[in-house]
Amino acid sequence: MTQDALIQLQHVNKDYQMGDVTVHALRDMNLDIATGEFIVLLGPSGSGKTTTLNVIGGLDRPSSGVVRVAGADITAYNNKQLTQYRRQNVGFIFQFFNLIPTLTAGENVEFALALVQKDGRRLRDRARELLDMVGLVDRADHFPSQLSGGEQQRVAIARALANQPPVILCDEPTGNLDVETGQRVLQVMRDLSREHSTTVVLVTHNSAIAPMADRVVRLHSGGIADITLNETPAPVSELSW
Amino acid sequence: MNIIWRKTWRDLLSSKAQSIALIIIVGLGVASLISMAGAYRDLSTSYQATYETLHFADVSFSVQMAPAAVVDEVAALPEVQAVTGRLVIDSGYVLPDDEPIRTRLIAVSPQGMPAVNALYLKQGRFLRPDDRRAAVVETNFAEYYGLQVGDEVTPIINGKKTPLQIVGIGSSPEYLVVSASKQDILPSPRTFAVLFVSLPELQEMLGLGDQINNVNLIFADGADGATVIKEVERILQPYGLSETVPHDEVPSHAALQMDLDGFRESANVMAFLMMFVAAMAMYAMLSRLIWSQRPQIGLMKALGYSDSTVMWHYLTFTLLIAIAGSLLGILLGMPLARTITTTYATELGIPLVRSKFYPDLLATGVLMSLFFAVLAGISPARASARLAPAAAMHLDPATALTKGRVSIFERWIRVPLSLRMPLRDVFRMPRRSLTTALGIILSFVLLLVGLGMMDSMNYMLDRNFKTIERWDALVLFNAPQTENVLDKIKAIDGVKKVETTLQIPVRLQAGGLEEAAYLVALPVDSQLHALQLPSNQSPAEALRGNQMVLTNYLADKLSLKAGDTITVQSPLGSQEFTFSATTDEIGGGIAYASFDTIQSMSGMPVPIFNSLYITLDTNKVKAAKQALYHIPGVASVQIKQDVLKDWQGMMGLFYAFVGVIFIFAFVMAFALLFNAMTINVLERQREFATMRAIGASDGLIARLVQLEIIIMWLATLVPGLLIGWWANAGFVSTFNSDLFVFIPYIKPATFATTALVILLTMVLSAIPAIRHINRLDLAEATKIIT
Ligand SMILES: Nc1ncnc2c1ncn2[C@@H]1O[C@H](COP(=O)(O)OP(=O)(O)OP(=O)(O)O)[C@@H](O)[C@H]1O
Ligand SMILES: [Mg+2]
Repeated sequence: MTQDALIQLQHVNKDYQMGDVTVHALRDMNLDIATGEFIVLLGPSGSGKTTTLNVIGGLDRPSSGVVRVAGADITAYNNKQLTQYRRQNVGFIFQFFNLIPTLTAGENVEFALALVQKDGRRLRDRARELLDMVGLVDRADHFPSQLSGGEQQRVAIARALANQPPVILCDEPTGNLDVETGQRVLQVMRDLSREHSTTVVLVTHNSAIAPMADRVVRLHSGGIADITLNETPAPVSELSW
Repeated sequence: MNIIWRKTWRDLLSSKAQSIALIIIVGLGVASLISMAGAYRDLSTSYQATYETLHFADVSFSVQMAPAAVVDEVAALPEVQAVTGRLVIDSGYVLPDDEPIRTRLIAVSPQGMPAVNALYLKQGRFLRPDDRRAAVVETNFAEYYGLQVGDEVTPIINGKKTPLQIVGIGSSPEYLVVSASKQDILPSPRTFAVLFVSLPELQEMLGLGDQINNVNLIFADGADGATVIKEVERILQPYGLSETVPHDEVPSHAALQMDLDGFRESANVMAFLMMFVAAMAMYAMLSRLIWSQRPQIGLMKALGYSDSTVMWHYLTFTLLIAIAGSLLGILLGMPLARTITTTYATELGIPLVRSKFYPDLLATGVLMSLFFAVLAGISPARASARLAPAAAMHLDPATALTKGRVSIFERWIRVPLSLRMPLRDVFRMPRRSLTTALGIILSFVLLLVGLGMMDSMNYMLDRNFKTIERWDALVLFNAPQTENVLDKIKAIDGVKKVETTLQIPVRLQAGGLEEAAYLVALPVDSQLHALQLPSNQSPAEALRGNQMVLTNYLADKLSLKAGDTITVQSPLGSQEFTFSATTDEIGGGIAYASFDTIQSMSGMPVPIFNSLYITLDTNKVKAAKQALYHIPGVASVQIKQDVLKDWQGMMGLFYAFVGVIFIFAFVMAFALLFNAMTINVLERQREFATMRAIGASDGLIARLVQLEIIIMWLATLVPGLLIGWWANAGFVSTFNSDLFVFIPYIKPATFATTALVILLTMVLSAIPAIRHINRLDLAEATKIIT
């Protein structure tokens, strides 16, 4: 497995210095994630889930240890390289959607597309295609404030997929959604990893989602408590919470 | 409550830069109010104090010549508190380089300081009975030429250059501003020497016996001025009473008053403008800051804090800024008021400076900032308090503001996304954009008012001395002259062109209104004075027959329109004229008529004139001037270059005043723009952090912010320049008087510079915020709504 791992975390530590107290958000974390794998990170609040995502996504640097993505050590990247890395390799789906309020749904997707390709006409069509994929093509001209939470989350997914990144990172994607919408969202991602070999790392505290993953990683106090391999991941439609 | 206080403090700290900028803005507003309005009051108090201390005469009488005993007769009147008899002689004075200037010899009794119009001695002592050939020199003149006690002055007495030794240098309440007469607007310490000499000595030199020609007095308490004047006039009538000058009409006093009135108006207008700008800026920025905290307001309410507690929290925040700003303003304003007063008083020659503390000004400044602080705090806090906590909590400050669908216009014209974003940010968030725009426009106003003052003054001087007055010398005669004098003048070496004019004091009456003016009878083809007529009229047309051209100022005062009839009262009798056009000149009360028309009205058989416009050979100005002074009947010769220099000298103070205003305005504008730009960016931290998280480069973020700034700048450019121009026009016009009219003018280059300075300031002041965004800890910034 080690050879064809897309993402490798090696002895990763993340400490926060709060005055006299040091908070160990991650302690000697070691994890390999293969291309096309669908991973669910589970754990209680404060266990280090978001921190792990941030370290993989290049939003945060570990205090020590190495993060390799496709063989390259991203902890050695400078800011410019990290920006480039995020732009081309990672699609983020934030817990609070983080859409740009002055751009319509379509334009939010276009914004991400425009970071990589410049052809204006094509951008629009591609943005519509992506929104179609999450079932929102008819809302393309609406501003985020006019969309429901679930719709905003789906726009955020379309935006994350825009440049077909090899890695998708999502933080609590279903936290704000009802079961049905949540299932739709999860289905989109499950399909991606199957059909496009996209690697998905999904953070949740909702263990009901775990059965759909290829692997479930449980965190506790910044470390890996255990890893469960699902030989036959459950279809999304069978999940419920 | 303790925790709330702690939050207030943290809020202040977390927006440290903006809070400091706001404190500076409020501080400068309060400081300008205290210093400028305070300085005006100080100046008024100072010159009143000077008048009182030096027993400035309530009224002064001039006679041909009277026995000194007449003073006792006046003194005997019960309504007269004090009286002094003097001999006042105007004569020539020879400067070391032989240049002739004017002198006024004021001979007073050497037995101690006069009871009326005493001197404030800066150096040396007053005259003593045993002095021989001694003089006390008026301060302005002495300072101009650097004269000291022990030096010599050389007036011409009885046709002879008579050296006198300086025993003292002092200020006289009659000559705080050295104006020789009411026709000479400008203080002229360079060309006018006032010398105080011993009465018996001057009488002896002139062979006069114990005679005087000038009586000054102070009324007794409660006396009726008009009655006293009548009685004294009756006593003096037999001795050829020529002039009665009440206190208010003393040229120095009139000039001082005019100067102070101009200063007061502009100081007040400027002070209140700055205070207003400061208050507006504070209002705009604070309410912005608080709008952006609406989610927190929701949270506080959700946690169970009452509406009033929440409101108090935000009010404390704004009030703290207002109070800190006021304190800064007071600390800055009080010493500044003193500095302005002292400089101005020194420049005006007011010897006794009184500087006081004016609680009402202070209160106005502080209350105004507090008022706007409350206003700024209360409305967003109230609006948020009305919201259900849940709604408020979920408001992304930006999200809430974007409503409606994409406009047809936007769908129609597809601009690139990178331009669409900043455009949206500007136009779809009206509240935010309006407060930012207000900040930018106020900056335009501040800068244009400051710079426009300079421009208007320079423009006025330039127009007057280059475009309108084309002569090199203006010669005035004591009495009307004829052809043969003209021939003599034309024969002087260096004199090139000569134009004759008549200048007569007149009263103009029209439609029940009346104004005093100077009538200038001008050749219709004058080359040396260019009337500034409406473009469709030539001087020949406008001055044809009984037509009269007036300055804008006069036409305004008499509310005349072309074709109206004016009755002109002059020593030549009463005549009817038709008002034909206005001339756009800086001079206030001047009327122009054709030289030929006035000639025929005078009924003289030969042409007469009492003044001349002359052009001179630039190399021979000095010699020609001396030659002109030797022509009999010449009262004064004004060289244009010298007059211009006098103006510029006097303007030194003006420039200093405008300079202070400008520095204030600039700092304030900078703080304002810095604040507006910073808040604009920081309000959207999360948005920018998200863009960076999905791969937007530092450069792209900077471009988006700067593009938005350029759009804001473009959007505010026209209103900013227009409102700035308008404010400048209003401000400049506060300097107008019947002596000169200030034309508001702003150079195109100044508009351009102002616009660029503002753009540059905007672009630069966004840099710290952009840097901050680009250094944000993305993990944190994308996580939460703050
Ligand atoms: N910026 C920070 N400064 C200090 N401590 C932090 C910071 N960010 C995270 N931590 C700490 O690191 C630990 C891990 O945080 P993390 O956000 O990864 O938790 P999480 O598993 O995502 O929790 P949750 O389910 O509540 O989102 C926590 O104890 C947290 O307090
Ligand atoms: Mg988390």
